[in-house]
Amino acid sequence: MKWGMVIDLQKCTGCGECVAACKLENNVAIVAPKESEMGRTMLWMDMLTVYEGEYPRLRVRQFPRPCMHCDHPPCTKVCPVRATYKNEEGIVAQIYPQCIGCRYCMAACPYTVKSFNWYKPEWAPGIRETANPDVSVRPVGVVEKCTFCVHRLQKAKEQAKSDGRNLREGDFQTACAESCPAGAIVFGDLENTSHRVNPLSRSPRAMRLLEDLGTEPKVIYLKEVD
Amino acid sequence: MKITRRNFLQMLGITGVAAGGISRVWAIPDKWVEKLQYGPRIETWKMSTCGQCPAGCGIRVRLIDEIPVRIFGNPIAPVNNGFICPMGEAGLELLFHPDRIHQPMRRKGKKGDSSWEPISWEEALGGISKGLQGLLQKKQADRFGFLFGDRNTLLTQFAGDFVSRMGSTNFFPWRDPGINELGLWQALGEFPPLAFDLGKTDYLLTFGTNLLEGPPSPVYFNRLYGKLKEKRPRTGLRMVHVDARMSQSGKNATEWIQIRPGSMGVLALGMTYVILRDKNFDEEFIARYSQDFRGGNEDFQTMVTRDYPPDKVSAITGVPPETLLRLAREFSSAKAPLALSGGMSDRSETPLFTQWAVASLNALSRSFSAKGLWRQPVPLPWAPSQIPSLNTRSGAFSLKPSLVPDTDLPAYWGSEELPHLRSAGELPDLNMLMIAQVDPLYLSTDQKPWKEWLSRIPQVVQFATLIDDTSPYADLVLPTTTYLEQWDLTLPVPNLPFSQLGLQQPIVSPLDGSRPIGDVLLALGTGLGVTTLLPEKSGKSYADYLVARLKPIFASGKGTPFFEAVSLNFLEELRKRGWQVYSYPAFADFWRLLQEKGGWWDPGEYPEVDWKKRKKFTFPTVTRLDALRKERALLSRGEETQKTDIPSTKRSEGPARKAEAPDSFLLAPFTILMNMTGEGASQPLLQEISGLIPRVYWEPWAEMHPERAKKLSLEDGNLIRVVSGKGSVNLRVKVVPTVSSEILGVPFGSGHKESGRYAKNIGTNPVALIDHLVDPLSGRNSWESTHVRVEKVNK
Repeated sequence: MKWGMVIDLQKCTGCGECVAACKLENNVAIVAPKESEMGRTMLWMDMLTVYEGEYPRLRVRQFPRPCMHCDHPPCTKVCPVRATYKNEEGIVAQIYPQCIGCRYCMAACPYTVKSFNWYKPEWAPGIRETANPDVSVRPVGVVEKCTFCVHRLQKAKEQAKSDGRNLREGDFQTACAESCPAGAIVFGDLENTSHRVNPLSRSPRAMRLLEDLGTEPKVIYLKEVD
Repeated sequence: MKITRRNFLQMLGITGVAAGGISRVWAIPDKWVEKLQYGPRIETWKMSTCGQCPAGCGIRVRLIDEIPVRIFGNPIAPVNNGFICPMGEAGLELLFHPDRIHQPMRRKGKKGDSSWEPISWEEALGGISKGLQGLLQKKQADRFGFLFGDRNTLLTQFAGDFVSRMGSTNFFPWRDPGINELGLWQALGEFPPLAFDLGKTDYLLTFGTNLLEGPPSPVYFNRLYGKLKEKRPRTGLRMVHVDARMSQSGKNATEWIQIRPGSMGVLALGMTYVILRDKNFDEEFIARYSQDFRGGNEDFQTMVTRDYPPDKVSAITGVPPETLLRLAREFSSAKAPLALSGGMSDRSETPLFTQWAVASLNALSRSFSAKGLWRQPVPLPWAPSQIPSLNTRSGAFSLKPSLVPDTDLPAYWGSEELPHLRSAGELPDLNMLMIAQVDPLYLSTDQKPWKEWLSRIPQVVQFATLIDDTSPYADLVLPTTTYLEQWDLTLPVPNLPFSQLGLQQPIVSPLDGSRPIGDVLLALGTGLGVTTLLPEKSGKSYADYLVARLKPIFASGKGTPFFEAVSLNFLEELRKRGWQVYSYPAFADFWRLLQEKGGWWDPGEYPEVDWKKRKKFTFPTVTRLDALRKERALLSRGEETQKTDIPSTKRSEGPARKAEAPDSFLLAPFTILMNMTGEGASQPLLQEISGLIPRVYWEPWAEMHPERAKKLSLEDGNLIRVVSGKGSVNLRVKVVPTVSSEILGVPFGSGHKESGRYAKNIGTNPVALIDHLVDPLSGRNSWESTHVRVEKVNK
């Protein structure tokens, strides 16, 4: 069992729906204007834009960028208190109460997917009181990042157990994969040949970000071809 | 026990600490406190339709103990198939906005002051009734008007009905036109515009039409683009986007053509020049179904061959002649080419001319003859409704069963020009104006006449969820429900090739003090003795009106409530045999199914356009353009559109003055998906992520071409002052290669003076910097004709 994600850039339209869905699903705090100027905006799912060439041969590539859930995660190796670790299903998980906020992991992560909670949890009053009750809120001074919507995995496992069956492919989808209008994000078990991600991850178009670092990300991008 | 944020979060199973930050205002209604503390935490789902923009996406709302916690897409809604956009996601932030008004408010100071005193509903409605009663007694019903933001729902028709039952014709709807709408109205007298099936084209050419970030339905088109892009390497589909700014549609196209703002129509006619010279055009269509193509001294062919040769077009548009030739040849050789105009071309100086030119390009290049590409919208099986129209001769608004080509325009084309029409046309002085679902003082390019006009009207009544920029000019503000607390019906989306009705139903009962607009109008009408607002005598509320309107749909036997994925072919087979997916023998069953599934649709696409049965396609000619200009003289205003010495064709070439000085740019506001309508600014999520791509949060930015930035010694992230004749603003500059060197792109959507704490005085409204310029042919206001000066701000 190795959870992973395939993002087909040939399909992605860069609409940003995955970003919005992720923020709401995981109760990611909204940072007020003044603080966001200091670069403290929190996005578990980000959108990277790369410009290639010049007009008339200008191409703009956009990459949705969640946590890569590396198989050799640099972040877990530097954590002095084991607040982040890789679990047996390949998800790079975090234990918020254990985090001491030293931010070594943020420095170690080559993909800059981690955010630090500079503030006490604070959101738009009203709406955030009806936050997603399935996801805990991170206290101030703690590092957080994309979890592959692990709370949904737990729910799906419980459901499967009570139904007396194994987990099926559609049972567990991350919020971004579920919400992508273009169907560009596919999520599943990379080791299970019946899951769609398995053949896709071996596609000739498959590539990983910063592959040469040896982090072996489990988020695989499929290149654009035109 | 008093509920605090801390123990509330604990109740939700969230272990957090007390919130500091933006504010401590509590927006959860008191009646839910107990439920939150002791509720059984039961999860339920309700179907409805999103109301953040007019696109008609179905939504599925997750409720815990009947408190909504998250909005998802409705998987069986035909427009969006289970997906929504960021605006749709953020809907709950509008519902629970801490600054929502909870009781009617009366203005205390003079017009323009934002100081209020709360009054009771009874007092407020009594005052309005009295005002209307007075007008009716004096036989001055035409002094009552209603400015209504049309969100493509049944409520618009109801409000129009209300106005006409009062005996007035002054119903002013406000909405952006659909794709191709201006051009097809002028060429075919076609309203609403023809739908098209993007899946059938092999060459898509979009003139400023940003399908992915603007109306008619971004989610539908993002979905479709995903599919089309994936197949592109195999099918060879070409997608070409023409605009001064790349936008998401340009990024996802196979090619982006940079063009000078406002000259898209010239490019289209330049292409027709090449197609005519190559003699590679649709002879049969032209001969059988069109007029004014040839056969006169001033026909279309003469105009194009004389005025639009490639070198001249190239000089005007900035598109190299070889690119023009290649585009024209590729387009005319395609089997099913499709040219679309809308979005930014709607906001140029010559939107009608541009769209007419693009429609002509379609007519010439076999697009209209292509199989299954263009679809004829089928009217719903209920009684036809009145269309709001604007008479171009008298400037009078009215509601008509159908529009008369040439003398009538769809009313909302000119609604931005209301104050001007009021002074130039036949509009009487109004004694009472109602305003709902639109914020003209934020949206219009010319605020002064609006302020003056609203100040002159003795009784301005505004329906609002939040105090907005228009409210200070209202005498009375009535708190209304959001789309999550009311009944309504989303009508078929323009340009989409199928018919659907999305049901909006209350996810929660209206929050304290707010009432749905429909019910308020009904109460007013009933109080004044107008009982004909409801088709059925037994009706008491707007929901009853909606049910009554749905009965003919049920009786017609057409269509079906939304259903899970059943192939359309299978469904057609079933229908041939007289079967249905669902069984609903009585209307009550049908109604229950609608609430359960979220709406009704007619599977299968609209039929192909039958050219034999319709008016001939009229090509633009110099004579016709001149005649129209005279016909619509009322719409033109000010010296800028009165240049009668300039020949028609010349006046269609976009901004006459090029930006010569090194620090001079053409200001080009553009819309973004995160906040298409400008109303999204009230929601913090959207304010934060609207600058997702340039990585600027909570504030707008200014996009500048690298070469121009270099000349001005500007670097990415520098602060600049943008100065126009109307004022100046400071913006952060983003140096990107995705804009032409002539323009300064600024996103539209923020910079509200009101609209709640997350929007108030945050960001900049580029539209407020724009010179007012009207297209005399359509009454549309230009967004792309103001030169601004840019200077660096040293912090």
